[in-house]
Amino acid sequence: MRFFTFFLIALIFIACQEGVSPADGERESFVSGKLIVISGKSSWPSPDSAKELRMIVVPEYPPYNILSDILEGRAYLSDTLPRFIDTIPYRVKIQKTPMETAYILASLRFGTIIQQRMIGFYKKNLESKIPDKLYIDKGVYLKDLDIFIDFYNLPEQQPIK
Amino acid sequence: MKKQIAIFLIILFSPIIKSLAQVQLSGYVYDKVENRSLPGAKIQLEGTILGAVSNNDGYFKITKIPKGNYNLMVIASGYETYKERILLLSDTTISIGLKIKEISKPEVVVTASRRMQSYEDVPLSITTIDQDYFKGKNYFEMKEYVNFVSGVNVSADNISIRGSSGFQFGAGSRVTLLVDGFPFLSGDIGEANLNIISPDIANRIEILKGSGSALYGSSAMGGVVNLITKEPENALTISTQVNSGVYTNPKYEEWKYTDNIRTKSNITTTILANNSVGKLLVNAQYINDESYRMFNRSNKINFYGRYIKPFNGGKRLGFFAFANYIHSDDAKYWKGAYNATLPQEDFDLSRRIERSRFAVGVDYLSPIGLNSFYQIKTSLYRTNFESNLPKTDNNYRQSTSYSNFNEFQINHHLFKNSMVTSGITIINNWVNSFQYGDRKQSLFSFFTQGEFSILERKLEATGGIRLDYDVSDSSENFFEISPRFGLIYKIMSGFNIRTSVGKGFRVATISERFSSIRAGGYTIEPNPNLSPEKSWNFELGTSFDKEIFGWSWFIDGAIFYTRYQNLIEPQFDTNASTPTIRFRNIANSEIKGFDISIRTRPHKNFETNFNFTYLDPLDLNTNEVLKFRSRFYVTSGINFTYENLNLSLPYKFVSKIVKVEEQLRFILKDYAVRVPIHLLDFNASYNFNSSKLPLEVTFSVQNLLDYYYIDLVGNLAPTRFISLGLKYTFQK
Repeated sequence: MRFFTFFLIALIFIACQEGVSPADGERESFVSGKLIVISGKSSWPSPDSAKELRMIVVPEYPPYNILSDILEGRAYLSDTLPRFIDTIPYRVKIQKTPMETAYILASLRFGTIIQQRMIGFYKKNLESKIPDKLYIDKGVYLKDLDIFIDFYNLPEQQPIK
Repeated sequence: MKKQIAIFLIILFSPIIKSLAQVQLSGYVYDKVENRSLPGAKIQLEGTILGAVSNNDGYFKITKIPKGNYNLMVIASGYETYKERILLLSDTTISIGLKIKEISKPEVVVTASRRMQSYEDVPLSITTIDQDYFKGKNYFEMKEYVNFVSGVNVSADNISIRGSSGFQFGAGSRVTLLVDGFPFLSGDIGEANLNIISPDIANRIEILKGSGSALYGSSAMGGVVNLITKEPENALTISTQVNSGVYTNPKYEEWKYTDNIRTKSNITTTILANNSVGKLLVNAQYINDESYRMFNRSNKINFYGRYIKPFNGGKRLGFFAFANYIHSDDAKYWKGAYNATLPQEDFDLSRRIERSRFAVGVDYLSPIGLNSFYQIKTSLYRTNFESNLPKTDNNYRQSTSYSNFNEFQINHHLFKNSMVTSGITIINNWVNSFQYGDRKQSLFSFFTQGEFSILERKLEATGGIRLDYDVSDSSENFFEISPRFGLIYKIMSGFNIRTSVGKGFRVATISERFSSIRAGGYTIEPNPNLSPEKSWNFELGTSFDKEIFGWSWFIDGAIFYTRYQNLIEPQFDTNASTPTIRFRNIANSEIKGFDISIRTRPHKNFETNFNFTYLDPLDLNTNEVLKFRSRFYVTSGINFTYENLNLSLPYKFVSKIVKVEEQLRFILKDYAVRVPIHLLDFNASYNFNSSKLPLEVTFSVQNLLDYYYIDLVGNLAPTRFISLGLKYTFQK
């Protein structure tokens, strides 16, 4: 009899366990891929001119005011990425979704925080001069968004404010 | 002089005189309580090849027995094994009354020594699943039965015994899967997949915990799962079962992806025939699973046929044929915990995969004299899988493998109360694969094991060694020596202590050495120079089988320690520019722990069991817990039987996986989400046999509490499933 009492208590205990739920998931979305330096490792600017590399996901292109967008949670930054190599994986967390329009840019800081140079952006058509617009739904993980970088032929610079 | 000549002649012709002095043993086997005859009981003179099976009247006869003392053993399904020391000096007729088994417990096993022996003579931890366990459960797949065995976890298609395996990306099983002693391991990925075999062919399943490499070689370093198929007892038995059920809707709106009912259905037919031509087992199974997850549907066909032709003098020739075909969606991981029933973001909705497996084999057993026999086995196992994508697609998969197994085994009595089992095994694997290339691998092995009984059979000692030579066309060759020693001391009837120590090893599979895959944001790169992984396993255990205060008890416990060297695990290359996985030999790790299993029958209608396993898996390189391992495993259950009604409530708990691979974040969303496993099933069955209607109705609710947990990594485990089954059995 004691065993059954124990078994019943155990069952009630188990029934109270929640297990996995949607709340365990990261509500944020992610974009990821690689930066592929097609001009080769040796084409990197000198360390003085390549102080920090990050990915930026912005809601409009050309970006109007990145700093303000970041502060207000409309644009998203990756962690700092390795430099001076030819293939660099990246991952950016998008906190507020769905993001109706998103452009993925690679930005290299050459001086102070506002001294940035756009060295590449995500586009499906390699001949295109402008980045592709993406729709980022909630809770998605967009992968293989590879970006090709040619230091000898950088994209037309947009004013990064 | 005349006297000397007479003595010489007696010695010279003693074998003839001995043969003239043969006797016979005959008799009846019956149910002691109901006083009815028992057909199909196996009557065996232990340590000899002499034996018989009782007929429909329970009658048996064993002839040509040399005079002497024997251990008589009688085994019948659902009954306590009967043992008696018997002196045969003239033709003898006996009646053997068998008692119905009070509690489900192992009686005889074949896996520990490659021959049938009493469970109490085995110095290793073995769990058996027998007909009592199968009874009344509405499970369609073998995995669902084995998953409730203490210390065993079956995730996806990967079997882990006492934490032997973690997350292997589907490659390289550390557990050998055998069907009647034939290995079912694919030649390319070394997969041991339980779900390709219909549960309806199983008479019992033996699960050897701890290294079995000394007898079974590579891949048995974590243990052995040996499925023993049914042998027909009656002239003809045909059974057909139809089962169907529905997955209930998930509790969370976010996980509801369809308004349609999702079903899983099964139809199985089994034919067992026994006549003068031979013994036949044929089984065919079809399963259609619409799944509880989107794009996870599958259709499966299993076929198994076995034919045994007995000859005079105890010789027998056997054949088997096996086929399995699975056509399924090819979603690997979830979209995330928020969308746990949807496939990964970049999943191509048209992506399907076809898998097929075929095997044929022949075995021949022949006695050599009275006490010895030899056995020859040969089989060919072909596996194939191919996705429906173009070859240019990163996710395209294709591999065809052949595994040819050949074995010669001899069991020989060197002297009284001893048995030596020796043999040679040759395994050849050929692989033709898009991602592994064209490869060949051969394994040549010699094994020998001796068992000796001393102190009037109170102490049984086992010692054995296996030599393996692995030859591969594209990597280094390896030579392995795997010894094992064991002792079991019977303190009194039903109470013993045992200890064993043994070495295990596993040669890297072709897929671990040569995988070259780029998909889903990661790359698997080859590592042809993988060395075999090795282990030393120590165990000290005890077994207790007694009646106390009117209750029958079976208690089995063991403490164990396994030290691994060169363990082959998938490792992320942190220096690589993209998420890159390589199978590598990580230096040293250990798993120590203990397990205990208790079964009792507090009331004639109730049987309960409780099994607990504790593991401490440690990566000795980092001094951190081994990845993808849990610490605690509990299985428990209540069975209630009243006349033809059978109810059972099996329960399983596995504590949360302690550590996962952090680099999985590049591959998978919510890779680190993990919870303990609480799995409770309910099974009910009613057998109409008593009303002369050979029909059994079963009802099951799997995952009764609809508790959500993860199947290893990035996969929601099955949600609640309610099913009904009908089984019709025709017997002649």
